[in-house]
Amino acid sequence: MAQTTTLKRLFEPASWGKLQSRNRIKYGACCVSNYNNRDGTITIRELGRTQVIAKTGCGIITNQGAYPDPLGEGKAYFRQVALHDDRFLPEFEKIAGYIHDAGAIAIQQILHAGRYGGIDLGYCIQPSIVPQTLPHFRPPREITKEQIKVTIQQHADAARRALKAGFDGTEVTSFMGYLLATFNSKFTNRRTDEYGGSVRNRGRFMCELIDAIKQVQGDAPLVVRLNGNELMDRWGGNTEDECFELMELAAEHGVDMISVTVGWQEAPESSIGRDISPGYWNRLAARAKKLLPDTPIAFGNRLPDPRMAEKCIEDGEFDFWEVCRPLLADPDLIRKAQAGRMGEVKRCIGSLNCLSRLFRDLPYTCTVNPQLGHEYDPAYQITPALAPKKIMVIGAGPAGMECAITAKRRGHDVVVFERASAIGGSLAGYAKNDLANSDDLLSVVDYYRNMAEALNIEIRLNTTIDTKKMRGMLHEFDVAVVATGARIDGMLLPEPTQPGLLVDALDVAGDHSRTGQRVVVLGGGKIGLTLAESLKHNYGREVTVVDSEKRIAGDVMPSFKWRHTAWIEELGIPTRTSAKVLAIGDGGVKIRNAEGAEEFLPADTVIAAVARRPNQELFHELEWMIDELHGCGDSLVPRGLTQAIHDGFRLGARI
Amino acid sequence: MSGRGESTWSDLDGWHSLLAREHRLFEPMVEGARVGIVARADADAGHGDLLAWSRTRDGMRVERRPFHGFADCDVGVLFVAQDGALEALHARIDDNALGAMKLQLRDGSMLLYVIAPKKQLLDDGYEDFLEALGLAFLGACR
Repeated sequence: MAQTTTLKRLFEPASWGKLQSRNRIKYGACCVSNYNNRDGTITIRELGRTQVIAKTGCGIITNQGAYPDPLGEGKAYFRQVALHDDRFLPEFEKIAGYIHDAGAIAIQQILHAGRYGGIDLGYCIQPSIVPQTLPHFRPPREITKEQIKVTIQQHADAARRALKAGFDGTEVTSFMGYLLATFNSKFTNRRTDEYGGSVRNRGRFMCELIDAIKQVQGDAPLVVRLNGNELMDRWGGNTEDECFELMELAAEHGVDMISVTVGWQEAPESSIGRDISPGYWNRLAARAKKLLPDTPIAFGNRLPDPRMAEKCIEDGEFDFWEVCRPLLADPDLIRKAQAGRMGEVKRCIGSLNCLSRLFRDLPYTCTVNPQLGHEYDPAYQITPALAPKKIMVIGAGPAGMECAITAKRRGHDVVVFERASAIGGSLAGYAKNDLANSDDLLSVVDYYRNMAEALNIEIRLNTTIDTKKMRGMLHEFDVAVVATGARIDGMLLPEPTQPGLLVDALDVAGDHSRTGQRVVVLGGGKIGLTLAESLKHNYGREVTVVDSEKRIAGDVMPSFKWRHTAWIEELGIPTRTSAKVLAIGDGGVKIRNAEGAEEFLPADTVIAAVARRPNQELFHELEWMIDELHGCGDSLVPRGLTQAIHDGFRLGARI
Repeated sequence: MSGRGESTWSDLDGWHSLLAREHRLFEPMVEGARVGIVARADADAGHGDLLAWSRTRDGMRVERRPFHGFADCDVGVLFVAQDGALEALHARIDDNALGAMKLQLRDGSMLLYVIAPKKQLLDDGYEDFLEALGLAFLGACR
């Protein structure tokens, strides 16, 4: 691989105590996979994942957080790994081995989830009884002083086990409401004994924890993850200054690296979502580095791009780029960055599909990387095709492009047909109207364009496939993949009586239809809401959203549901839920509202954004014209980006 | 109770009319389901007054109850109002007060504490109300 000279600082070797890291990149244990057994033992699925992580090219790799106590008070996720007994060690030895074999430093995170723990127990422990602000968690019990001592010892024992398994060091985390964070924060620590009150008293638990772990570890390094900002200060949490006082305290006790993090799970604002621009939180790392110049600082919150990380290291803002989700999205990110092939990187788009699934107690997956969590599964491997075929993919949206790229990588000959003048399908229009961060979603389209070019996949734009066109290409292809997406189902609405009043949401999103000043959007799902928000925010339109359901945003991923409902409120967009559309025409829409009363909503434009139906006509038309016929994405069942990408990949991997 | 508009807390009829207007959000709640609101100072002190919105067979009832701290407040969810927050809501009691509450939850002037376990909240019908306030029911995932 040709090494570029553009990211010199990121890829330079770095000393860390007695250890040498081959570069300044640390894989961060951003969240647990939930791939393991309910008793905390590690599964083959987890081992498959860690083998991929080990080979990402990071200089330091942090294995996901293991809970340290036998009761499971520290257990946050049903399938989290445990490290409270030597019986767990054989699998940890394998993981440490994978990391070392790949030439990286192996760090094991010890995660006592505190306020978010006790998932199997029906209660959790924290310094004081302060209920959580989200319904997912268990009711709190106050930890006694005796339990504090036991808990600290459990952490130290877990650290000893990690080293015994072959890890080079350990990490404890005071991130987003975990036990250490609940002691550090005055939001949750209301104790009146020596563990509560002043910053130094609240930090006592952390200091005792550091001391105990360092005692068993000797000169093996200990990392502490600490909030640079909890984003909880308006609710009585720590101020930013207090967060940095705690960092000083950790440094005083000889911690070997501080990983600066941002936000609690319960914070009323985003920290890592798509609505936060990349680089937004860098100042916190810079402040930590300035405050503690002799302590290595790692940072990576909402910093997905290695080129930005390079600049930060060059500017002395931190020492190690801590990266997790971008490597879940593309485990080859580092190699591609090093080779100057950033255009081929599948970027983490901050959809937080990973976290959404964890909070549904499911294993995490990734929107843009279908292989995550399926590394051991033959159906997800890209293996050479035994018999290369000529494949026509009809539709250049995410499902079609993913299928085309995967099939091409297996050795098939692929041509993509797209009726529009550009690739991207409905995602392109959706992305343009996304208030969170259009660039993230557009990066998916850019990736497909770049990969098509890199793999020499022919794309025939402005080409509609129908039976006539197909007759002219008979026997040219062995396989047809229908990836034609879905369209708004106009049959769900009354026939408009005023020509031109009703337009299709996908046409508006794709700039094929213009709207008047007064707009009524029929449908409060992700398409309708995205358009409504964009029309109000970007174009100053007066918008009303009408939906037949009780609540808007029914089809929105949990991680963004709150975001859409907040935007609707912040932008002052009126909604009519539990409403039935009675008529469209005469300068507006007549509805029966939730109270059963008829209401007329004046409109210059009415946008149909109701449920979609799949574009399946080609399945029937092509059935007797080609050897193999498959479908994927919305053309099967209209869903969303994640399912489109995963469908396309799976199909491409098995044709 | 220091520093807060007493008339806001004692306007039980006013709050009742708001809840009656928003009855659809509370209809799924089982009889006995209860939402509480306390002032931040009372929450910090661990005692004071609680404004309770309780589901009864005939609809929502509004009353004042003693507040004895988080562990013993007998509500499913508890809102803690920063100084002036409830007064700001009360000023919109005939308008979109719950919409304003949603924004307060976003800007931190109102804080929600979840007292009952998730399963109980689901079983007892709190989901419509909480989702209407923009609260992510199964984790914030931000």
